[in-house]
Amino acid sequence: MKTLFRNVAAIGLLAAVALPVEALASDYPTQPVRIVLPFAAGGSTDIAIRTFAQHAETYLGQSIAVENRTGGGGGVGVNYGVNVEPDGYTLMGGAIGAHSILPAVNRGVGYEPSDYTPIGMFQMNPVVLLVLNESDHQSLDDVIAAIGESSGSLSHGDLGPGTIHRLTFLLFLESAGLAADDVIYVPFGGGADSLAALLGGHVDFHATNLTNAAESLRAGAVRALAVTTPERVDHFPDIPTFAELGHPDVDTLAWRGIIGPNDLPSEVVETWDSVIRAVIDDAEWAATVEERGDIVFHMGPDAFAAFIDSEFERYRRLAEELDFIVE
Amino acid sequence: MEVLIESFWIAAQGSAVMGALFGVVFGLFIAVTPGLTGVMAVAIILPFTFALDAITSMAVLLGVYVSAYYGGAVTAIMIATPGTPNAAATVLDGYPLCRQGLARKALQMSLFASVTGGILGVFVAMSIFPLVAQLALRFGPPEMFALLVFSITVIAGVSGASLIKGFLAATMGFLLSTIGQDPIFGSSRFVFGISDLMGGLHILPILIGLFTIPELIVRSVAGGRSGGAGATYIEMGPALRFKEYIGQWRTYLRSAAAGSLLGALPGIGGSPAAFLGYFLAQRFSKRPELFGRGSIEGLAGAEAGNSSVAGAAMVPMMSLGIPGGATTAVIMGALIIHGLTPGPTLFATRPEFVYSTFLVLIMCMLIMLFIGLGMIRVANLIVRIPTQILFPAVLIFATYGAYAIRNSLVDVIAMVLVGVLGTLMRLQAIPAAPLAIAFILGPFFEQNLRRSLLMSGGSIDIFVRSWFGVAFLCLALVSAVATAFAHRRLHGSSRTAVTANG
Repeated sequence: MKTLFRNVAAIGLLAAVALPVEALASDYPTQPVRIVLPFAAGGSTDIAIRTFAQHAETYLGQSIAVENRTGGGGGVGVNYGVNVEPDGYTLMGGAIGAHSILPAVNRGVGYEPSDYTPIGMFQMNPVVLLVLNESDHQSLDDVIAAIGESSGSLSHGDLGPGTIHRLTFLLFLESAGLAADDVIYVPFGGGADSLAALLGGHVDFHATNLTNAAESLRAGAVRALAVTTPERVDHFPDIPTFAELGHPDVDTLAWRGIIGPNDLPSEVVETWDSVIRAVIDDAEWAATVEERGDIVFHMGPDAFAAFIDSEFERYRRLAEELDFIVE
Repeated sequence: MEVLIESFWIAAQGSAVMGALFGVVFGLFIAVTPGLTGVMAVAIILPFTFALDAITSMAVLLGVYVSAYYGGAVTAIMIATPGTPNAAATVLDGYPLCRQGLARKALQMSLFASVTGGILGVFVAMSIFPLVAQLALRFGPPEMFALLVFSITVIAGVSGASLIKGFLAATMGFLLSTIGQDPIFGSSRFVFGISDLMGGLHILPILIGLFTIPELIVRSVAGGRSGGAGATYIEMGPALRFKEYIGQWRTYLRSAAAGSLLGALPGIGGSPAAFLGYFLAQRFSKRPELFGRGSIEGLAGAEAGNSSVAGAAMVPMMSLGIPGGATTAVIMGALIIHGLTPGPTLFATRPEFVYSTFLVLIMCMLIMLFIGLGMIRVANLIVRIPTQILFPAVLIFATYGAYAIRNSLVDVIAMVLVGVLGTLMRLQAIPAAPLAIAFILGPFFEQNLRRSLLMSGGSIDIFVRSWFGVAFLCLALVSAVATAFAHRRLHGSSRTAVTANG
């Protein structure tokens, strides 16, 4: 009988979820809002979006449920998010990997930036190049020299091809006058196991988000040779920028924001624009974000859309130049 | 020592105990529902823990986390449906025991073995905490590959009468595991333009298709012939005797050792540990012929194996800030949101918090023991349901579960297709368990093989460049040879088909 009751309950639950959403009244939002996230729970994007959602609830006046729809490097979740009813009750947690790089490097993914509506960006996430603390490579110049002399025996590990981390390393090699195959490339599945591979000495270099590396940096286990921001990061003032070391082209920055499907009512976009502005001004939120190694950075709907378009074009071009296409 | 006492008091506060109790109840409820895995349970509960203090929210999350390692066993034993992937190996002997009218004994054994293995695992994790973390780091792709080669020899142990048929099933499992995005370069394989397939097939629909659906079909057909499936009424049977429980102490130790090693390595998770624990129990058993037909030892090995992962999986996260799996990743996210970023600094600055987390883990297991015993009484009701009501209900339940995992119809279709495959395999006496193991281990096997070869530029000597690699490859060889001999002794050269349930 227990099984039967469970089924009845389950079916009831299904029915409740499937009930048609009320037509959008003038006082959006009248019910909780779902934010679909194309990445797994507990990852750095997940933590960023959840922290944001937690603070945004106050300003939105409704609760926000973050839902992880993973798979296909983020493609599964975005494909879902661009096809939902544009009523403002299902939005996406936007991140560079799924929303802009993936469609640029993988034409088969099924969507492009023109298929969604950027609402606002709230933070930027720098990329760092790491070596083990006890490594002989003390500086970026050491790395360049070592790669040049190594005849292809040094290795680089990161979160996978088609990621901003891979792109960062390729841009660095190009800027240093080195070729992609001067370094062995070992792609890993995620931030955790690729960092573990560096810590265990299985790869020599590792490019990742500063947030992923923050703890290991503070503990002195790894050393960051350079960061991709235009200026040094406040909380990590010892890390030089690629630009000041003579590699201004290595300027990849990941971002996080809120993105909706196309044809959203203007009211929804306006409401969220003001919610995002309010969170940006929230000192407690800002302190949390910066502590983790992210940078508070705001863009409104129009600026954000223009930014994503130009980034997308850039990645699409780089993907071809640097032989970065995934099929 | 002072740190331990302090952490004990942190763990023993009322709110933490209440949190753990709530977490265990919620986790067990989720785990007996196929389609709702431990990861989802933790993710569902996560937002509710933000308002709690750090240790209470950890107690809730760990309660859910721990019970997810056990809860799936109940449905695995009662209706041949693993509630979570961790319970895949539990079906092999748990369900036959239930069919023999020993459901109560099987449920109690699985619960006690789970709690024993789980607590042993936490002790291992706590006592050699820094060592385990360092050991885990030594495992790069080549070492992982060697370990996986060893793990894959367990396939032979669950192959039943015919090794050839076991390998056939394993090959199908490996092939199914390659559907979706290539784990190294991200290109699509066998996707046929269906975007939902990009994420690959999910393990749960495969398990339901392999174990549950063939059981429903075969038994419905058999019941129809013998005049009314409703006649099948099983007794709960006698309770587990203390002697039977304690007699398995070697099994618990072996499974806990296997689970602690696999658990500390990133990404492996509970189900390979369950199969390895099962395999070890079989290798050292005096009655290996009972395995797959209702061996209490096999059940103990599997359940102690998957639960012992719980403690070890916390180690890389707590000490290095590297979560070993999806569930620990969510727990790590919760800690970060509470301002406690796991990693070397957390251990240095807040050791009492790290230790109290482990103590909470033990507390959750003890709570699970009591709640589990209550749940077994309720399981009584399942066996009283007439088959003509139970079977359709199980099918609805399974379909809902397959859909709920990712809200994708592709998973339901996969379940049905694998169900047809599983039924055909059953009729041909091709065992299902090798397929399940190969499907679970396949992606790790492929990733680590390819990563290793990328690192070495295609040269295979990378696998023997480290002692770990040599050791595990030798173990694999020994295991393969020993299993082949044991198999011959057990099954002779006869090719008689055994009704293999897996």
